[in-house]
Amino acid sequence: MFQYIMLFSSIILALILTFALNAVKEKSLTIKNKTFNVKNSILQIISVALFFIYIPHLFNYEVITNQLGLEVGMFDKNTTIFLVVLRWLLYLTNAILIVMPFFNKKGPVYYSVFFAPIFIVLNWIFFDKLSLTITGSTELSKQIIIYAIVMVINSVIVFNKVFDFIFEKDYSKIHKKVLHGLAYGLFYLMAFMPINSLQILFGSYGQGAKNFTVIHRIYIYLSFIIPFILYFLFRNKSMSDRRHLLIMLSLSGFMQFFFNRTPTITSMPLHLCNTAIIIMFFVYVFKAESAFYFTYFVNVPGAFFAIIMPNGDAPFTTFNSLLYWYNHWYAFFLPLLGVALKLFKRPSFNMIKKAIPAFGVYVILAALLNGYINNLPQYVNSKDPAVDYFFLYDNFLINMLPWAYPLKRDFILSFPLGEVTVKIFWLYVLLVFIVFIGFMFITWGIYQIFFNLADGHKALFKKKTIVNDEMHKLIVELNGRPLSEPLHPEGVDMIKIKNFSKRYDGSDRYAVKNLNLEIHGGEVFGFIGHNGAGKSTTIKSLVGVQTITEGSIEIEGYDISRQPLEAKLNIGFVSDNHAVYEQLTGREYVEYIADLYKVKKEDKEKTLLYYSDMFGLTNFLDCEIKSYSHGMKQKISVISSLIHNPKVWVLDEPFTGLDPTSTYQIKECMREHAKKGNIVFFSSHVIEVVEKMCDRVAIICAGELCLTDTVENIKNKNLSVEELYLKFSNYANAKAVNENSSK
Amino acid sequence: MSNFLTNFKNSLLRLKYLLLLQIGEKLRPSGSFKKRIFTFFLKLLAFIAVTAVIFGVLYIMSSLFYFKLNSATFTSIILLIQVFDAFSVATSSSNVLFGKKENSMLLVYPCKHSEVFISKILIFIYNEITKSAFFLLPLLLAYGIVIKATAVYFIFLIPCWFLLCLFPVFIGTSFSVIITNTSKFLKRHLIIRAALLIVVLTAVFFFVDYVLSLIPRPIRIIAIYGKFMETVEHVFATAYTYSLYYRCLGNLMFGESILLNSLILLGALVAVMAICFMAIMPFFFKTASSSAESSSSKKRKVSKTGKSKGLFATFLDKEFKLLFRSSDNLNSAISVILVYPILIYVLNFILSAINTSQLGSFMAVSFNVMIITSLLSVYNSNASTALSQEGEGFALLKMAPSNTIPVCYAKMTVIAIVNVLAVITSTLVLVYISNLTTIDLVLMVATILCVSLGTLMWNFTFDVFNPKVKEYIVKGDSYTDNPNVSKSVFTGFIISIFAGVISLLLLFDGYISGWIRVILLAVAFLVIRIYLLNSYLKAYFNDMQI
Repeated sequence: MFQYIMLFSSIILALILTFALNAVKEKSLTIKNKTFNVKNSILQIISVALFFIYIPHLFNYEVITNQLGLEVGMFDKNTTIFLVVLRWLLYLTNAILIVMPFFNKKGPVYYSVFFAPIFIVLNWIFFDKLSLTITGSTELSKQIIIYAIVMVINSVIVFNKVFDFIFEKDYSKIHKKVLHGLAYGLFYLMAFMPINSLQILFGSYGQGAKNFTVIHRIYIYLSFIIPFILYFLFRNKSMSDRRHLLIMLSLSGFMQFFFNRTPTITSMPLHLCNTAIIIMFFVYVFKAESAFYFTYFVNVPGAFFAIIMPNGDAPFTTFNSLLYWYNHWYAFFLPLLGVALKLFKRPSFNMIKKAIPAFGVYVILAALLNGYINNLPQYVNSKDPAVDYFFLYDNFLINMLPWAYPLKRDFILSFPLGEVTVKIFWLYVLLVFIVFIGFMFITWGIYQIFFNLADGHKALFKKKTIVNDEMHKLIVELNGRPLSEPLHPEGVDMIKIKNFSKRYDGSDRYAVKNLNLEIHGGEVFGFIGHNGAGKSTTIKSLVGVQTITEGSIEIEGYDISRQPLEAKLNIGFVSDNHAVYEQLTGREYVEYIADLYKVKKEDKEKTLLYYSDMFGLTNFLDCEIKSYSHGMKQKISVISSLIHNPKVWVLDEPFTGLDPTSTYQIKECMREHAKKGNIVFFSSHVIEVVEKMCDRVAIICAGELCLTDTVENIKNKNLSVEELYLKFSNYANAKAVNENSSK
Repeated sequence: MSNFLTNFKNSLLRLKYLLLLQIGEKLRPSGSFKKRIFTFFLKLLAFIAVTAVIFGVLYIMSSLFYFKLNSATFTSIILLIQVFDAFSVATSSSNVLFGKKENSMLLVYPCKHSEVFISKILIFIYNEITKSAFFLLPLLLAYGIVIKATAVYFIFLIPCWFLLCLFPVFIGTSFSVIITNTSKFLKRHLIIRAALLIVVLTAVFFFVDYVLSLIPRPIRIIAIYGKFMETVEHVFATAYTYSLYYRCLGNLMFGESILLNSLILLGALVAVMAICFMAIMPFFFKTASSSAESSSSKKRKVSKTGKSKGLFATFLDKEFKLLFRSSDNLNSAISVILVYPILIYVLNFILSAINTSQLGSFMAVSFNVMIITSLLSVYNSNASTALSQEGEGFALLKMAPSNTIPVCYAKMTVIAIVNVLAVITSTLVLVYISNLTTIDLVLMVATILCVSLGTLMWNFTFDVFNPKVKEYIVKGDSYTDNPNVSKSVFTGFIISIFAGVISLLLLFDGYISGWIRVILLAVAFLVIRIYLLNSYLKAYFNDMQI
């Protein structure tokens, strides 16, 4: 009778609450410049109250834990199975209800509306049996009363949600809402399994997870697979969703720690990973950075070692086994996920320095408590220590290094504290502390490696996306034409430089700013400027050796950035420092270049013969280039640049260091090449040559184009190219001096 | 007299400027005062750490392994280190004294040739001091602490350390002209060089074989340890008897006949300095300037201009030609192919001589995987500079109107071929010497190849992601502190350890399933690295620029 009264009272209370909350749902409250919605705040207060009542309720040993397997028990098999499942679902429901009001998520709401009422009603119907599972008796003990209060609060929250749903009358896509609620519940089902459930159902079954047995390996693999799956599922979700996930998981760890424990002095959460579990929940709820980084540096390596070297081998269905694994999984991957999902920033090296004192405090506390509790009168004569926080008391660690046992045994600090003689193995504690700090630094190094890997892959992925997008844009712009066709067919027989700017990495200054030029077929175009004006920068960007910061350069209608291969096929380039492979012979070098440009055999031979005769290199073609003089190296560069008969021939200061004969030969080459309708574009400091050879000339000063005109026009104005060059150079120098003095 | 003093003063001034020109950037303090103090403390910590480690090693060897730390041991250790140092100085002096491009600039300055020579010797001494400050000095200090030496030892520590820095410099320099001229001769006579290399390697192999044959089989480490220690002591005693200079140094440090030993040491130093300055210095200019002269090159055979090759074939052809015409690169490749197997022979001789269980054979596999891949990773670090080392030639790669991937694979193919040849020669050794079954050998070789080639590709991505083209253009081959190289060696080393440990664990877990997993992991590693390399090239090659 009692449970039905409680059920109906809950429903009535829920209805009242619903009306009350709806009355205030638009109202808000401002406290210290923060605005709170009254309805949400009330629901949150109720959830917090639920949390503070429910956790102490969990912190009690459940009698049903004694039931191993379905063979022996308080109930028949079917009832036992039913109650285990119902308890599980209620456990999950309680957790969802605690967190639900703090997030604006549909999943928990739909779960609460469509599924939770069923479990709540079943709870009240089977209240007496559920009470038996907790205390073994149906008498109204303190524990049962607390349980009833918890269920009343749950019922109120759940039915409030049901009434809200009914009053909103939004029944569209109801099946999707049901599925959403179901998916949400299923997602967290395993996290909120009461960890004595398998023991009750199956008894002590399965291998112990130790020494790399099959189950141990599965647990190890899951330690890595689960966080990866969670990361990939949630990395693109909103910050609220990510925080919700981590709070739910940390709440699971929190609840698992207290669940089914007898509240005694020895069940304090002071063993390192237990501390982590307690801390993690508050870390994620309150965004406590310092505590977070403590767990990140200290608990993660500790938990990792616990996973690799477990110190217990209980069969895997047992309470102890599952508690161990859940605990250490959470301690291992919750902090890692916190950084991976960007709830907390990646730690800097300074943070590890901050974590060390906090760890030191923990070690001292653990050593003191070990020394005190284990020497209490009721525990002092026990065979095994009552507590062994961070393995600082028992011989678990020292058994792995038996030779170091005297370090523990012979260095004991004892002092009286009340009736107890506290014993601390001070040297052993100190060595463990130092070694663990070493592990922290190693962990830091490993984190850095993974961060760098992750950053590298992320940058790579981003870059690939940009490259693919560019390709896609190009295809769209080509509008069905093949990729081998020029983007701008009207630009054939031209070099078109449009708003070209170049800034080198790490520099604020533009080497070339906003350059615009058009050069047509048949022209010999001179490009002059003072040292550092930007000539070589322009030329190197023109031929594709350097990237372009802004603007575009088109060669024969092909954009050098977007259709580089097609553009480069049309270019021959003579560098200012005759970059050649000096260990190759002249012939080998030219053939190498010819093969790059896919020149046919006959054309290659003919061209090589023609130019080597012209330059007098025929007898030297089969000598290694390193034995050539400067002029010969320049000539071989010229030959290699012309081997494929390029439409655009670019030369960067081709006459530097050449004798008059060589200079004449190259000039003749240039004229001849232009006469065939090709473009010859060159830079030079030899102004007389520029004046004599060029059809048009451009002067660049301090990265900006100062003049573009035909040589004829310049002469018609009774000026010379030299005069103009000097004028603009002086102007550029003066400008530079002014800029420097103003800085 | 005053003229002499003035000339001397001017000479010192010129020497100072020559030094500042060559190593000024190393001597100039950089960063704020706080940063310099911090750097100093870090170096001090490093010094203390190295001393502690050496102390620990010596302590364990003397207390646990009954290694006698007496004068003979001291002398022998110092002698060994000095031999290596002198050899290192001798081989590097050839390039530093005579081969560096900066000589054409230094010799033009208004300095005497002798001053240029002296400046280079001083640079050697500076380098030797900075290098030995973190090895030899901690070793001497730790040795003194372990043997609880008297105060005299520590008083003479610094002066003797300084002497130990000077001696190999002058010894090495004294051989530099011979080495340089011999090297030039061998470069011109390829057949003699190849024959000499084969003779030397054969001699080394037979010597190693002889030494190994002295070890009784099966090896019972504890049983033969006593005999082994006796042999070592005998060798040390012989070294002590015949190395007068280091015996005197040892005696001086242990406080015996201080005056006599000091005179002998100083006399020996003066003697080698005299050889250096009187016999080598006069030849400095001739040898240094002859390196800068353009040499006439004999004509190479005319190759019939064939059909235009594909891009990959074109680049591969070029790479092979450059490899065979560059003696440094070729020597490096040959040493990998022929020398590594000698090391593998020694390792496997010892392993095969130990009576082992099945675990032992698994350990043999994992050690071989670890050692061979780590040896190859040192050579594979060349891939981390493959593109950047092109220097100005990189412009040609950028201008090539073709897909970049064949270019890069052509570069890696050459290194990969050396890898494969090294693995083949190592396998031949293993077939001869090890107890491994055929299946184990085949699977092990497959694993090594996958891991090694995967590491090679990983190293290449370092260059693509962080190119140093400009540095190679400016400094050429003297650019020796490319961070990509150290990164690739470290990465290769770690991967080798992982490969060895994982193969041991998996084989121990189950022979057949273990091998399946090992091969799958190795293949997966290679496939992933190929995929990532292609991705890096597609994403970043176009951004590489001069």
